[in-house]
Amino acid sequence: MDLISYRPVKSSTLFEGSSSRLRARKISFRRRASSDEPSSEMPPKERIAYFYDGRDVGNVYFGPNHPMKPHRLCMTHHLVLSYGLYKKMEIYRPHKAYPVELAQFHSADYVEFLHRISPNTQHLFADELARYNLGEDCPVFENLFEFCQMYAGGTIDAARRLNHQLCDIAINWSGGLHHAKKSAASGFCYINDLVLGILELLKYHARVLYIDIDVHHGDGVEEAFYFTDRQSTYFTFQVMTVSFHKYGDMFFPGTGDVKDIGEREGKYYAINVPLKDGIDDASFTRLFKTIIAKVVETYLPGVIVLQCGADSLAGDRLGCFNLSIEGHSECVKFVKKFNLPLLVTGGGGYTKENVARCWTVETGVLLDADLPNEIPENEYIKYFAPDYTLKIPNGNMENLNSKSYLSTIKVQVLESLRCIQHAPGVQMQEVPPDFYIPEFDEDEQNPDERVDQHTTDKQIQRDDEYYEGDNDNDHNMEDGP
Amino acid sequence: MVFNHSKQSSADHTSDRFAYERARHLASDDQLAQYAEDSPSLAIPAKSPASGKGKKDFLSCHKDFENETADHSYDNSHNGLSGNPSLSWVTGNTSMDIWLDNGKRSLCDGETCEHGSKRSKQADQNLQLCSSKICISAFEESPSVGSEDRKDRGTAAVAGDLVNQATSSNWFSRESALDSPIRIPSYPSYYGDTCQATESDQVEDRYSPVFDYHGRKHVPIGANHQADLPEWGSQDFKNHIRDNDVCASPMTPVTTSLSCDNVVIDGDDGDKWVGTCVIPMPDSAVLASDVLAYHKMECSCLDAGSIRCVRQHVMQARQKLKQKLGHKTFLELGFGNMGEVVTEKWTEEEEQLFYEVVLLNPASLGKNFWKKLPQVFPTRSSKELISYYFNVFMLRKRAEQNRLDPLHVDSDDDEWQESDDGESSTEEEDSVVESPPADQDVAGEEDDLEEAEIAEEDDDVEDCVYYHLSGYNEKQPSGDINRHIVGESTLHSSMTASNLHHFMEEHDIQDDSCTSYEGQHNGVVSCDAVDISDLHHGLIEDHENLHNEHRNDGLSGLADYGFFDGHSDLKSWDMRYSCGTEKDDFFSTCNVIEEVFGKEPLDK
Repeated sequence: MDLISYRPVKSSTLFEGSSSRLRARKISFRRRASSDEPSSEMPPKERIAYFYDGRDVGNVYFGPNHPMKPHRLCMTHHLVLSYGLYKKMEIYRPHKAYPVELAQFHSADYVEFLHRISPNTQHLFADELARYNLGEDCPVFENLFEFCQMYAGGTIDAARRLNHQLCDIAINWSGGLHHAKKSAASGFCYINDLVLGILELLKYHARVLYIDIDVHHGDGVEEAFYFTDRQSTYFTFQVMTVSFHKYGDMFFPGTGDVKDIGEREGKYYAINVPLKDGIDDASFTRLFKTIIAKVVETYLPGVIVLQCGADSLAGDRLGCFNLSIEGHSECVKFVKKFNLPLLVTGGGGYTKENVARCWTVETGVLLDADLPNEIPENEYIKYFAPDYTLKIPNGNMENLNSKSYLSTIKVQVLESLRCIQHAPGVQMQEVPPDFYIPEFDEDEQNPDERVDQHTTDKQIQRDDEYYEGDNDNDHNMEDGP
Repeated sequence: MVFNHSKQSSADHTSDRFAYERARHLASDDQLAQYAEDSPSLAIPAKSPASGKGKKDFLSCHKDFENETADHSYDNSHNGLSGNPSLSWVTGNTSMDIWLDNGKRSLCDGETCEHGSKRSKQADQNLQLCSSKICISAFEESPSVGSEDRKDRGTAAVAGDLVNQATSSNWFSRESALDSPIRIPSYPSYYGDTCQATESDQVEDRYSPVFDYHGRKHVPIGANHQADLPEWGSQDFKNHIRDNDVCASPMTPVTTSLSCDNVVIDGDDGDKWVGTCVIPMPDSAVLASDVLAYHKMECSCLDAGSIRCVRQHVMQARQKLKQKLGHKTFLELGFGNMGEVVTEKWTEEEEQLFYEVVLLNPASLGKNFWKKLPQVFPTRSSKELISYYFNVFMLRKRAEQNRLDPLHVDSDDDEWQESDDGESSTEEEDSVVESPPADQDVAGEEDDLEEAEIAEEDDDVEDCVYYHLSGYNEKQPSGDINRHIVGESTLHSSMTASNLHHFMEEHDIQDDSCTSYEGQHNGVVSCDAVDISDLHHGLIEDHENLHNEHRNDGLSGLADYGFFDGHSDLKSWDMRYSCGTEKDDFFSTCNVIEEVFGKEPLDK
């Protein structure tokens, strides 16, 4: 028996008793949060949880002339609702993440400072502001901390619901602030909700795949998981990050060379796809699909986190790509097809209407709902003038990504991926099945796997070959935090 | 290698990284590879360059002084070229000039101090492009000789500049002077091999070899950068299972005093915080159905397309949604704070006051109405103000724009426009012809706001258009434009005197005088200084006067409007106000370029 079931989980139908690793993997591919009455007639529909703080998250203001406009979140939310998409998903108001939660990734002093600082007091803290990179791109504004709590809370809640199989796909358009560093703000990002969400997912999933289609490099997430310092007794818990972004011309943030592939145990687990200006739908989606398909095949993620920064759309105020909303959402559609638990977040996006359009379309994609091109009447209809349509034209841009350039990139990335398969020490065979919360059924449980309830509560399943050692470890861990 | 980083973190990671890299290099004999691996980075521009479109990021390096700076890349390339593989750290070089140039421009923006750093990102693209090209081509000319000379020259030039800059700006001294020693080795043979011959507009093309970027920024490594993964077993599984249909309500917040030692959240409690259910999962039948009840409403209004008509339909849609969702859910979803309904929480007087404050504090004049608003509305929270601004103010403004200039509405023209005006007006001081349009934007915008009010009151779009057409209908020659700038400045001074007639007279007097734009601009600024203190008191009377004029006094209202809207000829207004893309003579203004590049990035 490979999988040791320790804990009862309601409604989990997976991992009954025993299963081979192979099987577990297969299952994890198909795994969907099971609905209580699976309908045989209807094709099973994903359960989608949508997180939005309808009252506050859009009502902050970064400052005059700052391109980041949280009001875009209101517009997105409103457009989603006016298309009636609320009928096909559950909607949650996330909790506001507590400082301790934020400090799961961020340094405590940084979180504490964010908590403490306000526009009126910032002049007293020049040193700290500089240290934490606050001020210019990342101004201190009214209700800053609450804003962070809300968007981070959304992503954390989304991850938790996924962990508990309460949904198959979780959406938090207000999240996706991928630049924030452990102890510093960066690029309009203060708290890295993605890292927090991934950390949450790591409690239940060994392999989390992060995909980023923001026009900017997802440096904060990459950095956070550039290598995994923990010397696991069992196996590697290496998050894989894949970022498609504009690189060069000193484009922010300046990282994300194809050569940056991770360090130490994390080597080959950071994938960067640097692109040049003007990439169009066809090139982008082809590259995206090729790479992501190979990544998923190689890495066998248990859950995917997808950052859908909308600044990769044509006409973005800060971006320089030439993607249409169709091209952008095609990537979302593709990722959804893997049928893995999926956490979708927003990210950049500085042309408000297009952000709202894009994320609405992508909400529709995730819900399998076709949206009429004509935007329905809604409070913000005026923002969608003059055409009042969902689709936007591609920009008239030259694609500076030559075929040979793209193919060189592709070759490099695929080469890296091959190294994963062959790298000693991180062989996939040693990686446990993804899913860690198997059904606990005492009656069916193999007697020699039984453990006392106390231990049961503390333990997680893992591969049998590690069982003995793990067990010792677990006992030790009982005294842990 | 001494790094003068003022930031703990960057110092950390730089040295970490650096040590690491160095170790690596010892094992490497390939010099190029070594450099490629080693060279950490160019200065990466701040993310929000300008009100910039992506293009603007280009060389508008301002932020990342903290971590690294571009300036030294060229120096290092010299060293490399002269066969010295070691990295050298010099405090100045040619590229620094670019830098300082940007900084200077930004600092001279005429913006208030607080905007200095932000503005700094909005350096003129042309100039950047230009200087960077020069800079690079300088190196390309003779990659292997004279590098020392150039370095010296650059250093000297920069040193002077640096001092000036450092003393002239808090921002600069903080961000750059303190952090300036930077390390950017670059690839020695790079220019020679690959870039020399290219005749390209894009600097990036000079680094065309796919991967070997000129300055590569490395991922910092260390405890201060990577995440600590959650410990297995730290999670307590005991009771975290939530039933699906229990929409978990957030637990009573555990009063969490954040201690550095105890940052691991208790899995038990943490698992309960999974949000508050607003709309539960629909049943599977609904889920499986593909029908979304979505119908565009049929409009049979006589005035179809008018503001009133649209408003009516929006309200209908809203009511419909409300019925479907139920009042509680409706509010829970945030509809209570969305759209025109926000006005219900505001009195008419407050609304008018709000308009006035925004109107009289355009960012283009270095003012920030967001600072003013809380003073004027002490009882309103910032959330309320922001909500009003985006849900009511901007939407009304947008309603007008949609009708007046439907093809050229800019998605993010809210405050962006106003503030860009300021920048262009200072940047274009040398050009009398080109700057006025920028300033007219301000006037145009204000007119537009006035219009919005009028239209809201009259519920009649036609009227509003009529106002426009009744203004000066000819395209304004630059003389006229200047006149209106004078009008602008007098507007502000006379507002405090709350004497509209005086205002009008002054306008007439100055009607024919085409003083230089620069002088007038200064006038505006000085007026402001006085205004700021008085603005507050005079605000309401001014406002009333203005509106009385507009509403009650037909003739003078028109004339008045014509004055305000002197440039209001529809066409010219269009061009300047929101598009400007097709007008060659506007290209030198920074914001126009941004617009152009944002919309058609490779056209020009």
